[in-house]
Amino acid sequence: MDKKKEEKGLSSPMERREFLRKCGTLLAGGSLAAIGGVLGSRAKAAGGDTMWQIDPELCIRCGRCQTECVLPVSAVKCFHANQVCGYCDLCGGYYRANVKELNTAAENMLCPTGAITRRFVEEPYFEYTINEDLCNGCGKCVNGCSSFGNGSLFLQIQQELCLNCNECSISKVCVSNAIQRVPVSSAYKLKDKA
Amino acid sequence: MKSNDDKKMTRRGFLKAGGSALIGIAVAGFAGRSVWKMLTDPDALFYGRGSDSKRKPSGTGEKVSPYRMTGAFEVPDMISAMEVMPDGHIVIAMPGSVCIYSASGSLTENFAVRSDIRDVAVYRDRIYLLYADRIEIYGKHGEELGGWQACSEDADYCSFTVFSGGVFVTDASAKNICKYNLDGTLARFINSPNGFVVPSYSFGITNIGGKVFCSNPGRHVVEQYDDDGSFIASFGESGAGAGQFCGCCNPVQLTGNNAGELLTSEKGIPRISCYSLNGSFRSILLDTAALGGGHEAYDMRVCSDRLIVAGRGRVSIFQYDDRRAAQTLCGSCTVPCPMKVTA
Amino acid sequence: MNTFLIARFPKPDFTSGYQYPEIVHGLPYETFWSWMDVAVLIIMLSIAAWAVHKRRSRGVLFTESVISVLYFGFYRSGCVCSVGSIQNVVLALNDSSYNLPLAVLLLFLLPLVFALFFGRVFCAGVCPMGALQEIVNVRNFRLSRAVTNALGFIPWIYLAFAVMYAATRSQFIICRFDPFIGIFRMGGDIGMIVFGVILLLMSVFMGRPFCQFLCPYGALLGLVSRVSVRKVEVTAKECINCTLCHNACPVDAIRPPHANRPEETRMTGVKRILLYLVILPLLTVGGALLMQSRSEVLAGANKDVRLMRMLNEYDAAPDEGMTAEVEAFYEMGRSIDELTVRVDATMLSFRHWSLIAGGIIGLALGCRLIRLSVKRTRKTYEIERAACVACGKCFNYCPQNKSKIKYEPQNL
Repeated sequence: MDKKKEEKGLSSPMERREFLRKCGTLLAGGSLAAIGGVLGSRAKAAGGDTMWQIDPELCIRCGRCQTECVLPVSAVKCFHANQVCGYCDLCGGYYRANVKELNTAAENMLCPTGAITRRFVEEPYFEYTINEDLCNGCGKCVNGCSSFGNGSLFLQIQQELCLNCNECSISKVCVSNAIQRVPVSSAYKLKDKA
Repeated sequence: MKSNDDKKMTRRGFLKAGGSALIGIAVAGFAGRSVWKMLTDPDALFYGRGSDSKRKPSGTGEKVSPYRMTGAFEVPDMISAMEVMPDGHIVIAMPGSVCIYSASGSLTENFAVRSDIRDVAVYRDRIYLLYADRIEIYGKHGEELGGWQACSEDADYCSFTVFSGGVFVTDASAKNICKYNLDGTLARFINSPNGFVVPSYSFGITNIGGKVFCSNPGRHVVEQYDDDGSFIASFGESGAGAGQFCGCCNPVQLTGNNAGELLTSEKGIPRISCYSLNGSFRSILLDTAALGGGHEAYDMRVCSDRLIVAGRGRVSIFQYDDRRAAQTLCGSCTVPCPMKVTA
Repeated sequence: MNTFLIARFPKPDFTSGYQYPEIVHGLPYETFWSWMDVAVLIIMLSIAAWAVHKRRSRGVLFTESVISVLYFGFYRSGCVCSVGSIQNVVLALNDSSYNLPLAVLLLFLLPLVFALFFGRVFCAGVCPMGALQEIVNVRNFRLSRAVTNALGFIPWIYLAFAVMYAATRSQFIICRFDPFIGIFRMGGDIGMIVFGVILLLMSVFMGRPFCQFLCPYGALLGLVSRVSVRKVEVTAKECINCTLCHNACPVDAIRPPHANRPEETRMTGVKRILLYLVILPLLTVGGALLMQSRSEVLAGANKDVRLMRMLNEYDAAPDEGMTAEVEAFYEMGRSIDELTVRVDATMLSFRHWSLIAGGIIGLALGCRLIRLSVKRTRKTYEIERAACVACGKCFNYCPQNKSKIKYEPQNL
């Protein structure tokens, strides 16, 4: 009986199973190598990591940046491109629409958290700054500035706060598809120069 | 003793079966519910309750426009100004050229001009072009017919209107209206009794029924004059709501429709509204979304039953839509309006 | 469209010597940390492989679990993880314009490569989710085999849907349904956090509910470890059939010995093979066609398809108001033609991928049914390769591992 089995070679169940397993190993190894090779060469060509950024040209300030971020306080903050700013007294992003008196009374302010402060520079120019610790990314000031001003205020993802999730939960519901991944080398999309 | 052991075994077995069932139902239930939702209503699963995100129009019908886009065509450059000829052709002034399109959008004429066109008007088959410091007149096919310089060196003209009563030009630097006769001679200056406040290049003017209507943009009013320059009346108020003028300087453009009513076009929150000549607000005709967004004011003209709007590199044609108008003030307005022809 | 650069108000000419402030926006060392993740992964996988095959030490694996929870879990916020990397890789294979970072590709491949050689050592103490469940586990309540077998099919369904939704660029459902990420980054969707807490409570009493019943990467690892070069063995010495390891295993991966089966006739074997050859394609094709019949509904998860549906709804009933997406569409002046082209391409993509997803489910179901009906002869307690998560609990229970005296195997 044993001799017969030995003569039959691969016909015993144990060795057949081993052979199939070895085939499977080669198949699996080959597939993994193929995936690694194809995607690896492409990844090398493309360049490194990517981060989430809002395209300021597309953003229409729907307000979801404030509510949809997984962090308790959104990683989206208002940035100010000073070079584009007009430094006006009647600032569209600082004062609410149709304000009667230009003073710092609370009912005249547009920002709900008081994150915009202004500093007198010289007649008639004022410098406006955003306090990022108070900003919650609601976009009201950005709306005002874009509608009635030069558009120097814009919403952008602060990379030091952003967790860089695999799928940004704001980008899933962004109405204008403004949040996309950009390479780390150009990690901030800014409204820089006037 | 043996019976006790039997009881213990069955209790453990019962616990095992019970626990398995519980956990099995919990896990399978969650997984099954998710799979079921993916196969029937993925929108609700991934995006939350979809129906909640719909916006109901407010009582004044601010969010629904009574007009629907029925046609559009792109133009090759930024649109500086637009005018419609009596035969339906659309004249588009762009930096450096003037193009004339048929009503369906095919280009019929194209001629080169200076690059800083401020406004364009059509009167008696002639095309008038307004620059900051001069007015030039062309024929329908681009032939030069003349023109004249501005009366003053500091002139910075914004817009104008040409009709039998003369050529009325708004000046942003002198903050007044210059009236010229049709032959180019200066007739007079027109100043507002309230004083024109013109913070930026938004100083619209038009003529309806022989009267001149212009905006006093810093004061958020529309003022009415007769053709010899005497002030008749003014109306308007500041505000962002319907029937008000928002921002720093509005309305930017004015035109009349063929029911004898006034149309205004605003910037900041772009929208086209309709008023009666004595200032009663009728309705918003096109809100920001219907116009195509942005913050610049759109130029508009009425031609028979079509509202033609130019802005953002595109000319769009809108027509009255019963279904949409039902929710707006336009639908309940009783003024006999030739635009309310059901398409 | 540089409309925002048209200054309505001119640039101020400062006479007092005012300088524009220099604003520097901080960048985290993202590249450094993602390569750090890969390095830590390689080191931990190697240590796990050594601990499982050479040392057979549960202590090392438990320590690794703690480190994994602290580093991969809480410090790196559990994202990007190897489980989610399936989606990135599938998307990259389908769409050559998608930029897949090399680090993410390695996160996907390395555990699979180690599984090919050493079995599911990734699950042992390296995966933060498995590690979290391992740390809180106290008792070993085992479910009945029927329930385990049934629930064990869910990861394949999960994998099929994840692949379909990732390839069509619609959703990353593994990220959406991740129960533990909310705990790791301490924030997020409240529903998933609650589910995560429930799973952790279950993990106190039973072993690794997520790994057994939900993890789609586990399905892949199991598949690869079936053909692994080295198999996880309870002990290097001979098994003495004491049953202790079978009772200790949290995922019920150790099979007890079967009585020897009588030899069957060749015909029975042939008939069985033919039956398998009929069932497998039938289930695969059936599953594929079934899923494809629902491809239009499934496509509703895609953002463009959803926008198109909203636009059509608004056109049909404008008096019901617009959603924010429709409003944005019109405000940006987008053309419906461009959207139609994208939606058509997406629907076509869904038709293909729903076919593949359904095929995966059908094939997996067929294979599972075949495997359940095959009885193998076993003389000793053996670890079932695909199910073993290499947690190492059995090592400490096996008396052969503890004693220096060699026990002789009993003849049954």
